[in-house]
Amino acid sequence: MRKTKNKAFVIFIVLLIITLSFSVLSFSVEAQEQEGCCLDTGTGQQCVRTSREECEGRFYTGPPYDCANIPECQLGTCIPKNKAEACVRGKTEAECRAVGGVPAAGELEEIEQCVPGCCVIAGGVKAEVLQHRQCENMTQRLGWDLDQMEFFEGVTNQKECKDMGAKSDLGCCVYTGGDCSYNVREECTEGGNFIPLSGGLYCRDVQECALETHAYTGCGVLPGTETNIHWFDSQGNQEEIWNDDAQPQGAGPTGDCQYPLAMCENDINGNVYCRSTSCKVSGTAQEMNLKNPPAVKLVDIDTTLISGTSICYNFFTHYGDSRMLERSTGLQNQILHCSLGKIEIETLGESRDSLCVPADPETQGVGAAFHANIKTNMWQNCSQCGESSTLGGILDGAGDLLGPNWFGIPGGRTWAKIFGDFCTKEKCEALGDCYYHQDLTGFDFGGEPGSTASELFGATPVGSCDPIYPPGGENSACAECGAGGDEVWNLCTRAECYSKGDCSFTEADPFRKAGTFAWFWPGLALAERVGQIIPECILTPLYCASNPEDLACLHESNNNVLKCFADRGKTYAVWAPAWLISGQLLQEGWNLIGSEVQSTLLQKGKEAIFGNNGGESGGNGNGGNGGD
Amino acid sequence: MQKRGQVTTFVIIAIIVVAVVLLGVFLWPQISERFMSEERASEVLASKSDSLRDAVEDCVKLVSEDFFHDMGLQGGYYDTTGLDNLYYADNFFTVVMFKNSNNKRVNKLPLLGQMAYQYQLFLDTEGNAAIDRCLNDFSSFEKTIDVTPGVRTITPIVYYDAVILDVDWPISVSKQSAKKKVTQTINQKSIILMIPLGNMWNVANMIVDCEVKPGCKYEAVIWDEMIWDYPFDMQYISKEARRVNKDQIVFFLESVPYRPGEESFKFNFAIDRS
Repeated sequence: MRKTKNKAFVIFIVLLIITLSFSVLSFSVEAQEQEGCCLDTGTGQQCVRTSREECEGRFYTGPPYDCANIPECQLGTCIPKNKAEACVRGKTEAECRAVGGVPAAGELEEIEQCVPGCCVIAGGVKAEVLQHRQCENMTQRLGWDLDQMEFFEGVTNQKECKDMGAKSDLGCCVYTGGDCSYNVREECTEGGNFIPLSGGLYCRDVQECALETHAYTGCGVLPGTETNIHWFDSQGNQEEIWNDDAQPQGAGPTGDCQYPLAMCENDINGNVYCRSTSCKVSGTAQEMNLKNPPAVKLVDIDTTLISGTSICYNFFTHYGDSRMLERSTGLQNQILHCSLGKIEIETLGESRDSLCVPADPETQGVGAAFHANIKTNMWQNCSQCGESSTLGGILDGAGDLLGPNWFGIPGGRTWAKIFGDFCTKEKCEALGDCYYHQDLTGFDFGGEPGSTASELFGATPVGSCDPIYPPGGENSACAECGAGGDEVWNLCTRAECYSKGDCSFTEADPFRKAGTFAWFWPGLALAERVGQIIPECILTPLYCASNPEDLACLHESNNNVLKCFADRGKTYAVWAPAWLISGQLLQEGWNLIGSEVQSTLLQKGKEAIFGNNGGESGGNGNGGNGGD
Repeated sequence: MQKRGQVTTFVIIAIIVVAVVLLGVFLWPQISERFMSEERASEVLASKSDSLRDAVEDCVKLVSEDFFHDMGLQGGYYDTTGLDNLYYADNFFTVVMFKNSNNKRVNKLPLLGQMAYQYQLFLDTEGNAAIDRCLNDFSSFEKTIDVTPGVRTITPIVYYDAVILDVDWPISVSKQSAKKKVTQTINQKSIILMIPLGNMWNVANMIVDCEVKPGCKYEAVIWDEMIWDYPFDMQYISKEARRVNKDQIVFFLESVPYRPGEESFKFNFAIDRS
């Protein structure tokens, strides 16, 4: 009967394994069918991860599905078929070929036809920042031979390039019928008669030109004049810089916009004007004051940025709260860039992984002062302060427990070191953007902080190592409030809570720490007593050997080392496991009663201590260990 | 009795007269065609041709502008099959730069040629139908002339400050005259869309080009430097960057209209540095 039962059980297990294997296998096959690298979707995408159904070209299955190892999907510079288009880097071969382009290995700047630079055509007919092949294409498209093309490799500043294209050899090209064109000599072809003009003379000064001067205004079109407002005649020829005709020369407004302070701009109503390139910024932002402790400083911003410069516009905590004792929901650091009169916002994310910090001219040069910098928020390691991996960190808690003890020999610091590690201000700050919130100072008997005596007999401080710049969003580490490397004695405080991120503060559970405290001191006394067994059992037999007449030495356990250990162990050490187990049971019991009962007990406890007000309460979180 | 008979006769005659007049009004185009000279028919065709050409321009413009605006919001793509998206503020943004499993940066910003292909794809999928719907099968024209559309090809050419649609769509229009049917073939005008797609792409490419280059991040000082180096490209474009987390950023580009009748154009895309 029993054999049959066993057989049935074995068959059941075998069937179960087979069924599970099949389902796992079919799942993985299905997954492989779903995902793969598609060389062409038929909808304009090449080398993309998609399903077989959506793929028209070749389809590769198998991890990592992202085409990185497919030869046709290797990355390089793409030289498009259309010579008016720029070469681009980081394109897959398949994508490049799909639009008739030629993929090339190597960096864009290493490919001769893709090198960027300033393209000046026919002595200043056109001056643009282009790639070499685009320059050739534009030259030919405008009807010039390539020998009329000048290419200044590496000049990529547009204004500089336009100025390079500005030529003095300008004049009026006179055609039959009174048609005239003001441009460079090279532009005057097909029966035109070029009359060089300079010193404020334009086509209007040529008798054969049938035109009306000062017909309208517009931004300059000849290279080097684009930033100023110019007059144009009725045939569209550029004339001198605009000025108000109604006013004496130099007295009224002028079309010389004095770039980079301002530049000529058109508006949607067809008006043309000098638009200031600077940006007025006013408002209030926050700055981190790295004092002791760090605090937020409110800064009134009322400044004018010149184009191409930027400032930080940061928010770390609730507006107006310099002590950082308010929740920081949705706040983030930002950079305000001034771009030709427009403010452009670069937000650095609610997760506050990145911070905007003012540049440091001392280390980055004087010019850096005009630019905001991005700094990575190194908050992640703060909570590791005081953690130890010795023996897998098993005993670190015991070390932390004994750390604040100052009356034993040796002191708590030594015990904390023996069992693991403990956190101090220096260790905390070395971990990154961290600040040590100290709740209790460590007593240093007989020595200056850091001295040998202090290290041997002193106690560890109690506190927490927290981020200076609170992380936010999904980075918020609210649960770490009251925890950390020195979790045992660290109590979640409001300051610690908000420094952990976008957390709401509910008063920490004082009973848990109080329970730990009540449980700890008998334990410590016990530990002290147990700790003394070792010197007693070594020193007392030695003493008794030379002083056998001492009454204390009549006791056998004081004469024999082994008997000494056995007797004292029986008397004291057996309590240690009981003590540890009782602590664990207390903890489990507290957790077992559930959060509702916990809350009721806490509330009643608070009422008993603080009266009906229940003491300070904050936030709307669920309490727990302090933050949520 | 006689009087009543007379009244009935007059009523019948009146009804007949009204019916004849109404018939004449309704059938007048057909009747007039029978007596229309060829010159007159040509004139009618010429006047209708202009309206028809304008109607085609309006419809192609309307449908195409919508396309380019939608495409701009999807990082230059109409069809995003296989492309990664980033969800931010209730919208999906096409990821045009990411690192592949070999940790190399991939540039998915479409080339101008790829955007032109996306337009063709759009026409094939829904654009052509939308244009036909907009023109209502020329029904308003067919009351007076016969319209026979040929094969339609629309090619977009992207310029720095505009998109020009080269519309190749011969449409035959004809009108019956007294002697014969007069036929003309209309060719369409090129259509200018005031969308600075070329400039927008240039700026997007500057950002993506930097992000694809190892060690370059389009942020902070680099952002400022680009404003210094490319004032003419940046003049009528406003940029914004929103960081979703430390590695994922959404860029919003928007053109600043500077020509009468121009509307702002948006070009959004995301990058993923992780």
